[in-house]
Amino acid sequence: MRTAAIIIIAGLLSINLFSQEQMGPANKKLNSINCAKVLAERNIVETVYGIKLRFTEEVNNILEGSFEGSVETKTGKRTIKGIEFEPVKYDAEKDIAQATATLKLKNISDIVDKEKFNIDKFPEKVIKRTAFATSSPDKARKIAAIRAAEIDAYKNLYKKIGGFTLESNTKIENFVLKSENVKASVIGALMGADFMGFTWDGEGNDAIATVKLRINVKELSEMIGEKIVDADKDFIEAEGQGAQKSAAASPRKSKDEGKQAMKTDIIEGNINVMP
Amino acid sequence: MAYKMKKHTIIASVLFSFLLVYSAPAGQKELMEKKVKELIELNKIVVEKNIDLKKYNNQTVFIKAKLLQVTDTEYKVKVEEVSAEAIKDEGKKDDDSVIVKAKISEKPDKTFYLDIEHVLPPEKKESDKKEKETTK
Repeated sequence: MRTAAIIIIAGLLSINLFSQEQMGPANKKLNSINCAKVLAERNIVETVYGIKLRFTEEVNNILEGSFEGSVETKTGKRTIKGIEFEPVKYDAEKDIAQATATLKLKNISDIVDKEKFNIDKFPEKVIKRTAFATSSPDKARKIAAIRAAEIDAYKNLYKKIGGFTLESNTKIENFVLKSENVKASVIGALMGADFMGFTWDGEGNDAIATVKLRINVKELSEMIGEKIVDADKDFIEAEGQGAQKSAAASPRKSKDEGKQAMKTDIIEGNINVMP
Repeated sequence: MAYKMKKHTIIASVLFSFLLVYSAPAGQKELMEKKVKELIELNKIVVEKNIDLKKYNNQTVFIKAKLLQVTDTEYKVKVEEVSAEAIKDEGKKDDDSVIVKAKISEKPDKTFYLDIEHVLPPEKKESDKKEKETTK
């Protein structure tokens, strides 16, 4: 009985993998474009309503550096309307789609709590967020590294705005510190961050992605009607870094796969992604 | 018996952590090592600035502090709790916060992109790949 169940599960898994491999160019394109658009929409929600963060980083010094770090993020279920897309770019050779979503603040004026948020002050404010997506697992690892770097940047931005807790057990021997255990942690939420861009350090699979995020503290303070942080600067910036996963994760099958894509302008052409 | 079990568990977890760190790909390993250095260095600065080392000599000190990163190299530190095995300390008062300077990471100037042309990292050069193959 148990053997039969294992055989059935293995069969289903292999069919799923086979179907992923067999995804035609048209399906790949639709899948990548739809994913990029959904991710761009998620980024808009993260900027408008905020992103919840929970992170812990722990160093156990027994090994002079065994490290355990985790960052969890959550974006609440939110109603948002009026998101528009700039023409989606698609690189067929590399199977990468780029979607840029825009949202005018005045478009959400009827669904935002006006007592909390003074968005009428910025009627022409447009929020713009870009996302990339692919259906190819080898490229997905690289794009996932950019997202990991983005989450790291959110965390670092929060460290500058909300602070974090540091806990440590430190052995002092002969007046010299001998660190044994250090833990940094935070739970908080952050809104209003703009994605400034990314860059790569290194080459190929060892390359590390760096992402820069920025918050317009002055504007956000005026919008929510209270001082955010004791800073004279108008902007607070933070960078985050992300690495690529060692093994390619098999992509989950999209529910919308095969469905007709939303009507959008797509710029097609060869883009020299690899220098 | 319980001591032996605990010892085995510690050894197993240490080996597991070691494997986790050293089986990670180069990029991930680099980031983890960087983070370890940053946290240890930050803790060192926080402890040195807030604790009387003579008082706690040859002891293990627990410290809990709230940190706010003021600039890339400066942190505002408010110690919430300090305790040791023998001496109990109430820690610093709420309003007693200090600024510590901690140069824990270097930030070289970078050019940031937000376009499809730069979304993938540069590929490894063919000559490097061939060199690796020949050394194998």
